[in-house]
Amino acid sequence: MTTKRVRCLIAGTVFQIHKVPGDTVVAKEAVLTVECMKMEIPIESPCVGRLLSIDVKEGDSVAKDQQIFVLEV
Amino acid sequence: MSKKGTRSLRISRSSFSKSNRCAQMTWQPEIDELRRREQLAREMGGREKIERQRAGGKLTVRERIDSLLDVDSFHEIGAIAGKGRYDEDGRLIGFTPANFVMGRGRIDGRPVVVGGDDFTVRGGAMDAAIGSKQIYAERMANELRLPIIRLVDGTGGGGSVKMLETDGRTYVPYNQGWDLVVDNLAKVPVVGLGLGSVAGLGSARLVSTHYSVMVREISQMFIAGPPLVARTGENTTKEELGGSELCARAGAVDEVVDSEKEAFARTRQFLSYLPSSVFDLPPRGPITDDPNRRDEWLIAAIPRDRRKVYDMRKIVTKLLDDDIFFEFSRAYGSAAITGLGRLDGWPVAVLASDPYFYGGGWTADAAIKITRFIDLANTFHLPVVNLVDVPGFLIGRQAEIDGTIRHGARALAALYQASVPWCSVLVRRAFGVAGAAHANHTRLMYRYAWPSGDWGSLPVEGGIEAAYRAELAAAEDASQLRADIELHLNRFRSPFLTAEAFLVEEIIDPRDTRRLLCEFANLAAPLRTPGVVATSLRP
Repeated sequence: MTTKRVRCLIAGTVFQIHKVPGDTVVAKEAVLTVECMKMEIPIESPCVGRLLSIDVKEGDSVAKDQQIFVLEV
Repeated sequence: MSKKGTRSLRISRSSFSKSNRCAQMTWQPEIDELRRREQLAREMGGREKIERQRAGGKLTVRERIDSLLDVDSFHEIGAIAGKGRYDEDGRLIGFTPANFVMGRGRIDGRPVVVGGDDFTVRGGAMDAAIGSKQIYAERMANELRLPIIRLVDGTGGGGSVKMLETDGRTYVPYNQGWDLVVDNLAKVPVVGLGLGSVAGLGSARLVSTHYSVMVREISQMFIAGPPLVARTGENTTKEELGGSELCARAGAVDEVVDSEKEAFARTRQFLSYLPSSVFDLPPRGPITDDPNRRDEWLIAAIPRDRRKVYDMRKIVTKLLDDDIFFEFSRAYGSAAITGLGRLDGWPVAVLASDPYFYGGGWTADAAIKITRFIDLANTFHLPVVNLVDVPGFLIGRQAEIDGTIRHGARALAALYQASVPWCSVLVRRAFGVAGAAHANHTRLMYRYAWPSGDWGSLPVEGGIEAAYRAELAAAEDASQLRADIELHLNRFRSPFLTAEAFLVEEIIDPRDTRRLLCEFANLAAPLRTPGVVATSLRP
């Protein structure tokens, strides 16, 4: 078991969070949605894992490369 | 031979021991000597150094060349260049080959030039007498009009402070062979593979290419490595400083792969889409897919909800022959997707938007990537297919800090300077200056729109405040007025109204796209014009 820190590859505003820590996710499953350029952009899990933390909340601004969730893989 | 001119060379006695009457009449002893020297060269830096290379998970330069090229196709040049050691009688008693192996070979039957650093001899520094071999390889590619593949492992011929001691002086630096390195970018396909720790001139050689690849874990690239950087107070590992992922995300290289074998396979595939030089045309591949193939799901590929994203890569892939899309530079400027593929066998350059990254909006790095890509397509006469969903440039303070408009304007210049056949498909949005840059509007607008098309100077949602400022300021209920205006304006948003005015030429059923793009590729093929273009690629 290792932890994987996932960064947001775009800047925007956290629109919706779909998961809670403890949830298991599969590859390409949306963990949250970031709004940017008037689009709802899903931020997906890169692999199978269990969410250890989600480091943003709805309405937060996120910067490019900001850590947004941590997975146990 | 280091002692050339100071004493005569004696062919080794062992060569003569095999002599017979015939040998005395022929040049067999010299040929034996040649073979002996070639054998010594094949021993590279010696068993211990080769083992160290392998322990590092790396192939030797000779294994690399054999793995890259068609079987038994390597014709080496300058194999016996190096430093010989001689005894007092002028007999060769030892030999260290130059740390650069090069020659000609074939890839899929087509001739190429390959040159690789031999890290087992020396990490690429100029004091191992490689400069002229590198230049020869570049000139051979240039004059014979052949693709060149650089296998970079080390500093690629840069200097070393050890030279102060050996030369007893220093020198003003110059970038050897750079005239050819630059000219080759305008004339022949150039591929750079980073196959070890690459620094200095080696880094410049790796990125001065049309396509560059690094191999994960065994390859790092930097201007100067950790020991030099540590002198500035920054302590890093090689991976932290110049790991392959970092370099790909920075746009310094195009791609990261997991193994050397994969790097060679990608190189072969990249070259398959290109002509051997700009004086030739991209070769048509076998026709293995139905040009009239219709994929039903394309009619639902774009969500009706404008705020929802979709998988552009899936669309691109399905439109191309055999679902094969050779994408590169994915980790950089990701709002733009760039790659090569075939339509009815004809190689084409595919540019597309990725809505997952800023909705496909042009960032500074996306614009830089697009500029390079258009220049690549134009240089090698690859017709361009552009699948457009561009909401404009990325906006906001960060976009201004990044100088987005400068880089975007550069991409516009590349577009308007390109003369290669061009077909755009507006799959969704085309807004603003960046959206307008989906094609050079002064040429024949070879263009299709999907029914999901949505375009204008700026989207209704974003433009109302600016256009109706006075009205909104005067309104009792500004938000109600805003909603009313939006509803009203959205009535004019239908692509059919644009087509009615012939401001977009054709709206098509998305399922017909492949057929129409194959028609384009066939119409474009005879229009491709060989030769050097005025605006070839800069690295």
